[in-house]
Amino acid sequence: MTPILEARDLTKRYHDFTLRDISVEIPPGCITAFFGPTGAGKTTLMKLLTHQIPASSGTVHVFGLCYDDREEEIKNRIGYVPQEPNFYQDRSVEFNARFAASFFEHWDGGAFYRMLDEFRVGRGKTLKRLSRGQKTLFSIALALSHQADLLILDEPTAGLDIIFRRTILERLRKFVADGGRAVVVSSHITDGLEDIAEYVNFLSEGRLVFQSEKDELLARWKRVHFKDGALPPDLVRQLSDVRQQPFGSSGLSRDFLAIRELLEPGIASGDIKVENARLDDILIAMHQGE
Amino acid sequence: MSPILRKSSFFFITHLCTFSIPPLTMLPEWRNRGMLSVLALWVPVWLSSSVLWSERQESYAFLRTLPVTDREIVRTKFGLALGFAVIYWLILSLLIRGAWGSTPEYAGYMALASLTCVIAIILAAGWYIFSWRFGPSALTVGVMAFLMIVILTTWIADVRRMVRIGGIGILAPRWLAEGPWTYQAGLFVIALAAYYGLMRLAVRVKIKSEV
Repeated sequence: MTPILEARDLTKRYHDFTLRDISVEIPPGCITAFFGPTGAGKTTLMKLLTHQIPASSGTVHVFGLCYDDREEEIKNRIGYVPQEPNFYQDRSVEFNARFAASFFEHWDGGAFYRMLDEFRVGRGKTLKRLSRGQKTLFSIALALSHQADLLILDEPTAGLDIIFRRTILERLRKFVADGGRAVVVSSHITDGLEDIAEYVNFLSEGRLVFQSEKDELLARWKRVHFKDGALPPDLVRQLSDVRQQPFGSSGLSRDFLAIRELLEPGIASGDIKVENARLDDILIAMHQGE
Repeated sequence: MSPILRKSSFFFITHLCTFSIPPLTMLPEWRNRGMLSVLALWVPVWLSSSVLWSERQESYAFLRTLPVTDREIVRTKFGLALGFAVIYWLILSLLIRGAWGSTPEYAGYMALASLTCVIAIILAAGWYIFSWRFGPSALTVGVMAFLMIVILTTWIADVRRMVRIGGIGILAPRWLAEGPWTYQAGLFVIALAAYYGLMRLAVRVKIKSEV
């Protein structure tokens, strides 16, 4: 399957931070998530993927094209939602929308204004009077109104209430449903995104420390609940994030498939229970180097 | 019409009004006291302040998310400054012609207008590059300092007195006025070549810019 976006050895050096050797492929029909703590380099990566800042080294190809000679064509097919929307703050929502619309070849004004109404963002309001969440919703409406084939969203759910968060996640799911388009999303929280992302990447201190299909990740990482004494001590030591609980303890197994056979007697007797690990527990464990 | 052009034009037109209309209303009364020279000397002030305010109100973070290249942005902005300078030069030419007819003063005033317009576009190009390299905050400091110096100098040194004192602002027009017309044509060619060179430099600066 030809990737919609392909980045090779992407590096961006600042005097106090370096995003180093990022190589990713974004397949069509999927939502790919980039998680990581604040300052991990997610926004820098999103900006590099959309050619908003020049890379120190490395290449990015989108739809098989290169930004160097086909930037306009590529950006016509990308919908981008920034972490900090930087529109013309003193101008109205309507002005900003008309300004953006005049650059896109396939602008759908009807769809845009329907979304604005659905998101309850006033057309006549100046941007500086919108809340952070409303600005994000305005960005999302812009990104979804010019028939983009790739959506890149930087922390799109931050500042949104639970209802709009769910609405947006549902829209993202529908966006990729036809199999030809893709979504790249970055976030420092997994809330909601873990349900819709097919591919998970983890950034830490400017490095891509992990990338995997989500299902593969969840098959390997499991939370094991066990009564005291049900697990041999050496097996307990292999678990991370071990917590005391009312009926015993629980810990995170990073390679459940390797210890499965050892646990089966306990599972059969009811002394051990296994459940899917939460994505944020896995990411925290990775971040702590466990 | 490009939306960038449309948006930036607003600042050039409003600043043109700010800097030119008040002296123009006094033109009949001040005609013999060098008000045309003042109008000519305002060109660098007007273009510099227009560049400053249009850049302060610009959102490159937004533009970078839209299908427009840095090259196109630079060409649009440079074209705008050049276009307005040419229009202003044409208006000045008509005013000077109307005021002085075919007198010896005409050539001198025309030379001054040409020289200030040339200086203004080179300055505008410099301000754009400065802004994209160091950001609008640094540009504000630079342009405000420039404006203060020019305004103070203009108020303190009366134009007629400057004629007696000399200085490059007066000697150069006099030299151009006394020379053959090819001097002025040469000035325009050199200025346009420099402007084109600065535009190419600006594209390189803009592509690397993150402000």
